Amino acid sequence: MSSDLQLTRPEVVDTLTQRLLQFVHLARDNGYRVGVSEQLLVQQSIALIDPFSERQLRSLLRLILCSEKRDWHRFDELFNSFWHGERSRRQLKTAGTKGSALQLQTAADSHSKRNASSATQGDANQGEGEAEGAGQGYKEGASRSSSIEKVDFGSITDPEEMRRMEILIERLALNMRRRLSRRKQTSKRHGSVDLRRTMRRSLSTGGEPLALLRREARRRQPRMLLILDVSRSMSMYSFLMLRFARGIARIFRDVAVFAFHTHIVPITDALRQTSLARVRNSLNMLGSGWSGGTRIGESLNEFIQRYGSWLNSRTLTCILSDGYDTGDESQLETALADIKQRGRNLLWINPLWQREGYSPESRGMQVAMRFADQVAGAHNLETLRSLEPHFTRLA
Amino acid sequence: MSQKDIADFRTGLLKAGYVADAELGSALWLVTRLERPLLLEGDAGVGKTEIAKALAKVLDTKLIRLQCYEGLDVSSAVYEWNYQHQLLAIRSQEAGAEASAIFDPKYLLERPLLAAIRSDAAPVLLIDEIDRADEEFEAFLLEVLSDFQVSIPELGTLEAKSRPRVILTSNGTRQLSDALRRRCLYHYVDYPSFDKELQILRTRLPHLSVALARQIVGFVQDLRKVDLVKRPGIAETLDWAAALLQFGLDKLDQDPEALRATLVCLLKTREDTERLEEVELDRLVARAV
Repeated sequence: MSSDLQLTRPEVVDTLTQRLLQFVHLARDNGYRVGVSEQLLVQQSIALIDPFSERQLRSLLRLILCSEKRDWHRFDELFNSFWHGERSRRQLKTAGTKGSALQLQTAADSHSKRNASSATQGDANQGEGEAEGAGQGYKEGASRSSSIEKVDFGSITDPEEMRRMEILIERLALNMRRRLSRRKQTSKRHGSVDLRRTMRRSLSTGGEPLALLRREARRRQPRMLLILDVSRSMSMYSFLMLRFARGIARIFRDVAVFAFHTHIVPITDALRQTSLARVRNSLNMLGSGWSGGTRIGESLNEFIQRYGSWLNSRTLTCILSDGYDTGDESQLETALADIKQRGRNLLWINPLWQREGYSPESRGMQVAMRFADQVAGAHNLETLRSLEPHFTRLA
Repeated sequence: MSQKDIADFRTGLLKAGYVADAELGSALWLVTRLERPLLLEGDAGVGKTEIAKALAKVLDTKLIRLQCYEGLDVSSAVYEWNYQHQLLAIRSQEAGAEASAIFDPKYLLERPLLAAIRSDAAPVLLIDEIDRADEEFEAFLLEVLSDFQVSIPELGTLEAKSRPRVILTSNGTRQLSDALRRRCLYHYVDYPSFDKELQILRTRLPHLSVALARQIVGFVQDLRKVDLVKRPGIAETLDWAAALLQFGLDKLDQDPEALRATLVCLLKTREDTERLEEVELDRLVARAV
């Protein structure tokens, strides 16, 4: 790559090693999952390539440092920013160290001094791509003070804060799966006889199956059914709830998400799309009349008629709504009774539930409280996190 | 590695029927040297599985494939004792046959992971659609991929005779654990560019005329820009091209009825079929022609 280097070979190797180290740090600071083993691998494997071939160096570093699609797509930007001093479209975090001036491409010589420093201070969580990968946002959130846990979703006005919250919420949902399928107690119920294991064990008793081994019932994930209210009264919460639902939809296999205001639409496929922009587009197409009035009872009845097959003995139905209903109360009663009868459990999540000064006086909430196995709140991260025990208990 | 090494490697892949770009060629070459698993991620139908098959051909070694699914367990993925044979052995010993150990490797049924570890020559181990397997299996896989050894309680630990080249594929239907990702090298397989797809088509279907091949690729590339539930992959392009050949079409606008009949090769859901009506099939054909 650089034919007119003025350095001796050992000096070049030393400087290159140092620069590689800086690049690895830069990658880590920008959300790449890079640890000591990746760092060592980079140093060991550099001998396999011609380090002065930009293409080879790029391939090697991309192969080792990337671990998901998001990393892959922004790698060129990171690489060019560091090795060529190109200005980045989005702001990158700087590596802790500033680079010395070994340039791998002569054309970039004039930019040598600002290689690492050209990547200006900023937040790597900006931009669409970052918003999709929620991991880093979660880590940042975890290290922040607990105050963010108590911020009411309805009080967030800063778009940046809102975006951060969306990431945290989606991450929270993503983390739920493992815990939901975790077994906390030994089952007292005996499963059917496991012939294969019984036969195998019988070898130690001369082929006589003295001990019957039983097949433990496989703990199946619950079928999750999320029904979101996206009417006007929920407008402060509905987008965050959609992100929560997106997290759930991405990790559970057996999940369906519906949104309703005056009628109900399935949105599972829209939420499952990998690109957040596509999710927004799909939801916009589905969402004619969003943030309008609410007819919970009619919407739920429509759900039962059209998508009622989703309800079975494994279904945990979660309705996210504040219960403000402009429709017929008796319809809501019929619908909830039906859902309760056909499904396993019904969890009603009302974002306002634990807010100070809230009392569930709306007719819809009064009906909901009669039928729901549990009513819970979700107006901030803390309350959203506390949904987990309800999920575990009801699932 | 020199440019020549990469070029030779890509030529090898081409001979094996796989058109690899420079980036993928270098990545695969490095995988063979670094002896680390490679995680290939990308939409269904972009040719991830084919990469493993082509790699096995280039390295002139066998391909061992483990297809993942929900509920995949150790007895299907690693090993199982052939207990019927063991029982027969016990009975025959009771009847006076010579006594021998029951837990002997001869009673072991090898499943893909064990077969890969016990192979004399390093095979290519394809762990296909790892995102379909459960998290428990993913955790188990971590151990195998780190140490390339399998513990069988009755026999002890079996270490790999040769280190298999491991290729994992994922369609991204669920998130894989960080631990697994960090043990793997990573390559994202995207839909091919026009030129690459044209080359693939010409390689796989040499009878296809250049003009028709260009039209097919142009059409499919445009179709992928439409908001479809299931975007057509390379396999779909190849199927469609073969179907058009069967219908004896030389141009896409030659016989609209026949063209419409062949679209089943490209559009796999009812929603997509309906959507294509909306975006006007004729317009896409006109652009491609």
